[in-house]
Amino acid sequence: MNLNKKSKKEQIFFLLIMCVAFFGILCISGCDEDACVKWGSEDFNNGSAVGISIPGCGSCGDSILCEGCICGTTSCKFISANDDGFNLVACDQQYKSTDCGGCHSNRSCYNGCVSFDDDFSEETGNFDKGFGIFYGDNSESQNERMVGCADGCFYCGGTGDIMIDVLSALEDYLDI
Amino acid sequence: MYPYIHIILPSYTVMAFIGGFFSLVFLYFRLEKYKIEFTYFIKLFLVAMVSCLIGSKTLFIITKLPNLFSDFSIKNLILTILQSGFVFYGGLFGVIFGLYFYTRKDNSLKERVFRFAVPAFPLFHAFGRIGCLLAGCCYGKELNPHITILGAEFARIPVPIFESVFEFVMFGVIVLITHKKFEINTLPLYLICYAVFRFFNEFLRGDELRGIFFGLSTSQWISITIIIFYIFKILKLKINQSVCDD
Repeated sequence: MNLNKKSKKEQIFFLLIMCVAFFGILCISGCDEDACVKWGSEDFNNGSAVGISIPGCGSCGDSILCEGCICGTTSCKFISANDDGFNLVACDQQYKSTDCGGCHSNRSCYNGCVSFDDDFSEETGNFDKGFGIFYGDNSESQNERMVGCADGCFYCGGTGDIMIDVLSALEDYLDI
Repeated sequence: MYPYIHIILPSYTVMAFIGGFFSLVFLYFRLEKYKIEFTYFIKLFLVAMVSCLIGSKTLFIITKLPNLFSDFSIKNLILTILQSGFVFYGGLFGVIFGLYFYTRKDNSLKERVFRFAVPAFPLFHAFGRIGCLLAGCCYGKELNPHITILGAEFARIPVPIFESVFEFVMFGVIVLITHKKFEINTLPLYLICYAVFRFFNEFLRGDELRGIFFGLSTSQWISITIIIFYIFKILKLKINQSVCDD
């Protein structure tokens, strides 16, 4: 195959294919300081946590939760953690806010699954056993919701933004 | 049932892709004028892209060396390499060194390749900076109070817009010059103009994560180095000319 003898249209198409391939690689790597895939893993006394942050590409969750997300996703953070009967799998999708003019204000929306099998605490009122799915975004405070089952009872309602605090703490701990 | 697939595209990558494709197409229509074959152009593109990635990563890693040495371990070294981002100056010099190395055996070809390729640098970067603006990176200092331009409210100095406009102007100027005078190598002109612009533009930037040494950012130090390098080169040329005239 002699590319020099191809028609102009074919040659330009070839350039387009090369561009797609190259920028696909760039897409995985992201841009500037917040770039590139990060991952971390840490062991606790009775459990462990692993996390990975993938910048730049697409959506990792339900984009309906992130209305106005015109600047695109800047990173998707996947976290899995377990500690003493507490299990969590979550995705935290972070992006820049709609005020694009170089404003650089971070926002995020997140969702995940959690299960717990703890001893009941009189002090905090935690359940013995339960599981649920949660979602939320940080566009307004106390916006987090959870649907699940705790001690055999169905639950659907606000959580007081507990899970985003857990997620943020894990992200900081794992440095992702 | 899930009849629609929602895709969110990353604005920076989309703009970089548009800039990259426009640059390639622009260069494609110059192939005949500069007597470069299509297959050789493809090889130049691959060399430029690989050296761009290596250069931009390397410079970023250099700015992180103090942190790395303060807590050195093999794990940290690998993480620094894998987690480092891209910087424009590193990419630019990566491309320049890559093309220089690839064409080192034939001086006339080397000059031809640089005359051919230089306008693509500002064209690509102009689109890249629009991507920065959309992604919210490489941002400027905070504006208090906010300003409104053409209905858009800016909470920060729109530094990427300044740089994008500058790069489009540079692209136009270089194309005009090479159109009028085919033999001129516009690389020094571009590097000097960009270095001067970048030096002052850096004072308006609000992200200080790029490394600040003695009050100036890494990019400002590189800009100073470029300017000094070309001042010495021009002086040397003048001295040689005056010796020849004598």
